[in-house]
Amino acid sequence: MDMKTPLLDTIEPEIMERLTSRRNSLATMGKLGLAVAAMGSLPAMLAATTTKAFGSVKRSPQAVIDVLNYALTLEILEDAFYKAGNSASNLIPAADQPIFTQIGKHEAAHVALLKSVGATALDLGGTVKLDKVFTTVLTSYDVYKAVAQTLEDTGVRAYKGRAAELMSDKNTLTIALQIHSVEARHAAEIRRLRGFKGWISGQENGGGAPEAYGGEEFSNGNFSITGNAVSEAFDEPLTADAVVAAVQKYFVV
Amino acid sequence: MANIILPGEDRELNRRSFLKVAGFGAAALATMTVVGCNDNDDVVTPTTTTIDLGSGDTGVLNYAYALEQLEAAFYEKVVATGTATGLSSDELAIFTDIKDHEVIHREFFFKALGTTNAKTLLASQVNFTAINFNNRASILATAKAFEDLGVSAYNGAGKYISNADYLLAAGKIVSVEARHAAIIRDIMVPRSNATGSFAGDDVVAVATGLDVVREPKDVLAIANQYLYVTLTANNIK
Repeated sequence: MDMKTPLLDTIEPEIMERLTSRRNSLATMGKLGLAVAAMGSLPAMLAATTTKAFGSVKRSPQAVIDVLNYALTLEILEDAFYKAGNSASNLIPAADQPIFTQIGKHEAAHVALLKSVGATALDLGGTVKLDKVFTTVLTSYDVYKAVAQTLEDTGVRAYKGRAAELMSDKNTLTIALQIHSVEARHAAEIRRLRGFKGWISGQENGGGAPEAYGGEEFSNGNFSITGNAVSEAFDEPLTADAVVAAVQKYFVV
Repeated sequence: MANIILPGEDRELNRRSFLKVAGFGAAALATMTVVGCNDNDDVVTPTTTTIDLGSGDTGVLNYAYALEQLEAAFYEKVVATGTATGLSSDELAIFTDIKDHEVIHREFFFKALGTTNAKTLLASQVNFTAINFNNRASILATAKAFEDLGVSAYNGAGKYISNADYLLAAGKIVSVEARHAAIIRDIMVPRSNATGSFAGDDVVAVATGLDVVREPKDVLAIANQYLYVTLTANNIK
């Protein structure tokens, strides 16, 4: 796919149709706000609408939509996180601001892109105030960077974990892969900024959420080279449940 | 070694011994011709024959395998050159990590393909004459080109994969290539530059936030510049 091809032209017609009807049905759930509050945390809802494991991969237009909605929700969280950080005073040193500006630019673009194809965030219906949930991570630059690393590394694993569900829709799969590698670029940069390697040795989280790194040490075989390089050479997928567990602490009101 | 080896002959033993010397591991399917051999002087003339990478998932895996072989060979040479590259010790440590990763990727795809299907490149088929291994800038520019190329290749090849396990494997690897690209770029370009930086505007589209993607033929047009043979992916579709 040419990068400049309008995304709307590349989405399968059937997916578009379902997205539209899904959006309508969500619109009629305007009272969802109450339901959201009743059900509790955002991540709980996230988990409720996602497949639990890679073993039972769904491949249907609805599965594609589910992944797009899941992706949009994660992107909204990231976007909000960078908007909050980039607008906070005395948080990010001037020398580092271009990094977070660049990353924030991409996350905002991802949100707009996913929305443009009709993806619907799972539950940000006004009951979760994104701009109010970051107080604990906006007071310290070190903490902020650790959370940023967690979000990016988790984002990589989240997209990876659901790519197979997009196999029926090649254009959407390609777009997801293109977002996936951008998240990896972000993750590497933040890790380096923090004094770590750009790649993940074992479960090295550097003070990020340990939940985000479970299974990252997985070995994909025996090679002539041993040691940390074996786990570094492969990034591992993460189930939706684990993604939720990793990020919820930063966003739940 | 045998004096003359012709395509189609059972040349496994000879090939293995050659490849071991060449540092490229096990067997090659790529057509090769050995001429003028004697006991002391084996002259290998790489063919100018086009090597098609095949079709289906095997084709895609060989496509990835070819790129990983190229990358690994490059980084092996960088690391072997050591401080003569002009890279700092910190930078050499990074290049050593990346070399290890690429060697592991190469071996991973060889195993996934198996001896019968793997199209292994010969050391003599790799053409790095355009790279100055004693020049830091040349090495960094090449590393950046290879890593961004790899990212775009995997991003473009995902849709051609039929087996979900292979798609996942490719996913596990492409994000590591993207990490490499970001770190190499961070070494090269001041972070204040929106273009050229770890996720610069030259690779990540500003409007969409999407990374580079290339079709196999476009990737190979670039990769072939580093080979004496011509790889094609005409049957990956």
